[in-house]
Amino acid sequence: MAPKKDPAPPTPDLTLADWLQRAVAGDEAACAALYQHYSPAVQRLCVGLLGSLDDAEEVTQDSFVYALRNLGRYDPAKSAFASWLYTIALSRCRNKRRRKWLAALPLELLGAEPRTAGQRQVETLLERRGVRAQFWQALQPLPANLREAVVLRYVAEMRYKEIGAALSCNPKTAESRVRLGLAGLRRTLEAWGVERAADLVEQWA
Amino acid sequence: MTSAHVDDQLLALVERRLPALERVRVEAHLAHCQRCRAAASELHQSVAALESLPGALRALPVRAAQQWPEVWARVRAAGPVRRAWPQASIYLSLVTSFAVLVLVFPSGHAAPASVTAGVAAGPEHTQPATVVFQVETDQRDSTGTAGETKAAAAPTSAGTAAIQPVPIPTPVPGP
Repeated sequence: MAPKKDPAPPTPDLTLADWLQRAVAGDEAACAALYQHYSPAVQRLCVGLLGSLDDAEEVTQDSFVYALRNLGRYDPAKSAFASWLYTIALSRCRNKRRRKWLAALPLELLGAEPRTAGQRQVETLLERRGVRAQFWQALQPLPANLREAVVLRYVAEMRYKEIGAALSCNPKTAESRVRLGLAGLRRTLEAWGVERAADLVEQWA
Repeated sequence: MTSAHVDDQLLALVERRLPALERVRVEAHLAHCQRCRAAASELHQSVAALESLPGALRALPVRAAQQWPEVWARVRAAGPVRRAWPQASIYLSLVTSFAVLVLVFPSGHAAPASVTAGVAAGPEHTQPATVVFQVETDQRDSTGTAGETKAAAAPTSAGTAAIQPVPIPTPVPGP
């Protein structure tokens, strides 16, 4: 996997630093440009962490509201801007999952299907792109810390150093969590009778 | 071949992150170790499947453009940058002021009531001395994960806040 870098700045003639400087000063156009440029990637990460498109949109909005009001806290020396945004989104995804888990607990105890329309929407869209829903669903039972590491690595395409910073652990631990996450994914698929993960993704079948 | 298994290097190998020399060593081991070869194959399939996710997820609808007015309204609604722990600076200033008072008035010297109340009343035997403390208000991590809901409306535009000058009496020997 290629090392993750910040996506190209919003326009070729202005650097990210220029946009950030304007945005910190309260320039709406600069804030809008940052939002339009980075929100799709943040939303993808949130979908990976939450599994639901509706929840991901909500958390993406919340994350940008916080980020745009606290741009002064961003330190380019510490992380890429995208990684900073991802870390903000990660925290909010955790909160969202916690709230949803509490809300869904009675349903799970009753044996009801807790899947939401937003989750089914993601699975349908992925199916259209050649990714079987079963593969996506196999990621969901992973323990939270392993699922976060896997999603940060393969959905957000972050480097282990950045994952470590986002998860407050060292890069080696981050890599170890990804490895354990992959092992967990494989165990889940085996339990479901799937021998090869690649069989669930069209281009690798 | 009797070299140790290479489980710890397999993920780096599959993700094409191994340095060339290390890769040669690991691949040489795989050539003779069926167990590690099978593990590498399984890992490769999982990673390959996962690496297809970003492309597939790009097909998801993104309503960012339509949502911007709402996001911007929320950004503007709360005014200037919020302070995460406004109480922290207040508590810190109180503790600091108390510590200074204790130092200035060691046991046995009672501070005038006007001083403890923070009012420069200009008593006969005191000369007010102004002390200004700069207190860091940024008490949380850069992502602001903690206590956001506690953010109060106390507006500030900088990361530091100047505590109001507190008149500190200096005892003057009486006549």
